[in-house]
Amino acid sequence: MKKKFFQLSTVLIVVVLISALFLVGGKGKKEAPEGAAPEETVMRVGSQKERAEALAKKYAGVTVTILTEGIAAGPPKAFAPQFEEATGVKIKVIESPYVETMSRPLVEHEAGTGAIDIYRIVPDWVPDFAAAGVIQSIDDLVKKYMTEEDLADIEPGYMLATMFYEGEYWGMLMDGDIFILYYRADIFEDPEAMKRFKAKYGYELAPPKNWEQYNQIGQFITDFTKGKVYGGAGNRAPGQAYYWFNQLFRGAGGRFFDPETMKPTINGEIGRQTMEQLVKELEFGPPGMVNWGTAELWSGFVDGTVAMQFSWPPSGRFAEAASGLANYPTWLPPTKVAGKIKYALLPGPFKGEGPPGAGMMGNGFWTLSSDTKNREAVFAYMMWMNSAEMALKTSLFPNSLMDPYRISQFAAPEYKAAWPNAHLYLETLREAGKYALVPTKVLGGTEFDEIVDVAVTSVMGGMPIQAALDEAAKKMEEVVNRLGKDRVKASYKDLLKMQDEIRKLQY
Amino acid sequence: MTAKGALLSRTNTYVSSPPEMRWRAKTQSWVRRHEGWLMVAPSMALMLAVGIFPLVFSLGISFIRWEPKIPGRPFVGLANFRDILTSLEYWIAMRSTAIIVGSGVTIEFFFGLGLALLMVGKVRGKRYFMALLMLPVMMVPVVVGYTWRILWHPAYGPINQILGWFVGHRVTISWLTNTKTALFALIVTEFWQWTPFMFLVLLAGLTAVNPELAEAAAIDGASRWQTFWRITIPVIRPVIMVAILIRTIEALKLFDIVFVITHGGPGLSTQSIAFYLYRTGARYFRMSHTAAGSWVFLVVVAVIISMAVRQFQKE
Repeated sequence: MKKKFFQLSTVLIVVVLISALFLVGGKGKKEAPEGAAPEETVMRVGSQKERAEALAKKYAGVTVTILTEGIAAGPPKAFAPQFEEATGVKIKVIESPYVETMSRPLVEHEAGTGAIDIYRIVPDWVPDFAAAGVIQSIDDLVKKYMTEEDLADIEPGYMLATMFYEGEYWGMLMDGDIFILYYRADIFEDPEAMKRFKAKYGYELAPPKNWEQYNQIGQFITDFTKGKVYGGAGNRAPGQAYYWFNQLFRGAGGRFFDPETMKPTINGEIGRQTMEQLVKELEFGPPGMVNWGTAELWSGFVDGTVAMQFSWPPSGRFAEAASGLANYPTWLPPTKVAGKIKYALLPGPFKGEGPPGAGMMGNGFWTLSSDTKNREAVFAYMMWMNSAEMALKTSLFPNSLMDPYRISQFAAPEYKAAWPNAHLYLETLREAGKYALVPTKVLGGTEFDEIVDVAVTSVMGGMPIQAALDEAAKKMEEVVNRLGKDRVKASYKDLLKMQDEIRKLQY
Repeated sequence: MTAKGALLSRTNTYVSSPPEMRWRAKTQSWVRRHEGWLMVAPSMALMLAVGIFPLVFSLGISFIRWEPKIPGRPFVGLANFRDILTSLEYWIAMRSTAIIVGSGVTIEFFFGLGLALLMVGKVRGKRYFMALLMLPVMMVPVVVGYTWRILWHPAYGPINQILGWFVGHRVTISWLTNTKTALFALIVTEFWQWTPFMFLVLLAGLTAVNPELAEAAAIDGASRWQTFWRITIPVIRPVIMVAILIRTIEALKLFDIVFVITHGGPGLSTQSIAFYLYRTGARYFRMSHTAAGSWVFLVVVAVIISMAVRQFQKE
């Protein structure tokens, strides 16, 4: 008995010791591995696409692997053969559910697999991933291989809001996700509706300039159509509800923190007004809207149930699917509103006058893995897909959820000709860049977004507004203290600095 | 040759042979004595690697701070456990899990027992009915989750539509976004999927009961209820215990339907422990906190289950 106990104990001690070995040390930010290219003159002539191909050719035979959300995998897969033929660099696309695009990079990095070269993430995650050493800055590569002309073609507001962190380029924007308003022009321009609205509210029926007007218009349309068409709708389901909160809150000038003390301010006046607005919209929204996610929102819009909605740009394209710009997604009902939609910037303030707000939400953003073994080859592919020519092809790709972000895309004749109002669509999306709201690109951003999401769904579930916001503020403070106040403060000030830079575009 | 002679012979050989031969003989002797251990060593090593190692590793990391967003992995002692024990969100998740598991398993048991009592013995069409009844338990939980998410939809879901037929007007209850009804919706979904499991196990138990016991009781004047309560239940008590234990242990791992149907919402009202640990580990990258949370949960569950087993065995 004693012998058996001794043997078992020996085995357990060995296992513990082996485990301890794995706990020693820790990974932090990794130094970027040296590029393999020999020192030579960097090509500066030719288009961005041509220069990317020239760079990639030096690494013929290498395989570049990208981890991307499934809905965004179409263009990389479709254009991979073209890149391979032009450069000899093979492209491997790994599709993944959205939630895994957050957890898998960390797992890959901690395991040190080096299996994935590009992570398609959202800009909000950049500070967390950078701190964890999962991704690396591409600033040196951008400055070495891209020209002023390449970068000048990216709409400045979009670029400032997404591509920069701590003064460096951290990834390539691939998708111009920005919130604007989509509305039923046929209802807004109906003479009877215009007459009655003016009589009731004293101003013209037109896209709202503040959220009070949005509510008035929304309620009016619901009443005017006797519930056949609801005035407005938005996401309230868990997982994406925070985007709608952030759009309203940040657009009205709300800040998550006091930048000096880092005390959360989400539970202040603007936070309260934001939540009240989200609740108010339920009054004239469709039944069950409290359960709506993106699929329900876009379905409701294209089948004519909802007169106003704000969300991602694909909803504007799919509503005009008759144009043939994109193959129609199978998860949407047939559009009944083609030719009836117009576009506008979203209101900023809750009342009165003020600049509009355009949230940059969930942009597809390609980042360079810290564990890649082929830094320059990978960057060449990123540069190639980000080029004007490929960006346009990507945004015109059938069923693509990729949206324009380059000035050349907004001005592209083939895009403008896609449907009768396409030029208005593109002009509004471009104009929105001047009012772009930087996403929650701050250390701890993933947690802050989830805290906000929980607060919104708590309120939708019946919790009092102030209690939900106070709870959110408390949790945000815990996160700040845990991650280190100075560190979070530095990244938050960086966010505010980018926001100030964007504000300068308005003048 | 006597045993003493054989021993002397071997000893003489050992003393008089060269060192290599002595080493070889020693090794062979050791191998013969530990034959059994050596044969099971490869599979034991695999079991240790897959089973014990992760447990020990997770216990180890619960005493450090491993959070990739924060540099370093310092030893923090019991700080993670303290954070867990003082985390309101953790205990809310514990409470939600307890409600779903407690209510769900109880309802599944009674319905399963009821169905089993109906189906025991010769029943016409039993085979076809059982095949249909087993379908839910064979479905992947994620598929069940998505299916029921559609069923519970306030505007397009059949549940509200059917309720509307009964009450005579349109019903738009937001089952999944109201804190009062979301837990109920999850319990019903769990009940739908796992009652057949209870039914199957209890039916097996009831089928094994000797019918002569019931006959003898009838002869002695016992009513059907008395026969059921005083004879059938005590006889199938071990089966009941196994069914409830297995189902409870499985239910405590509740994740799939929470993830798909409510995502832990509205707010945190339907967040199960497994979902909470997923959130803190996979989304917030708080490895040590997650490990500590898992161990606290393991201890709580182990205590409850041992108390339950002891209680059952006493009776």
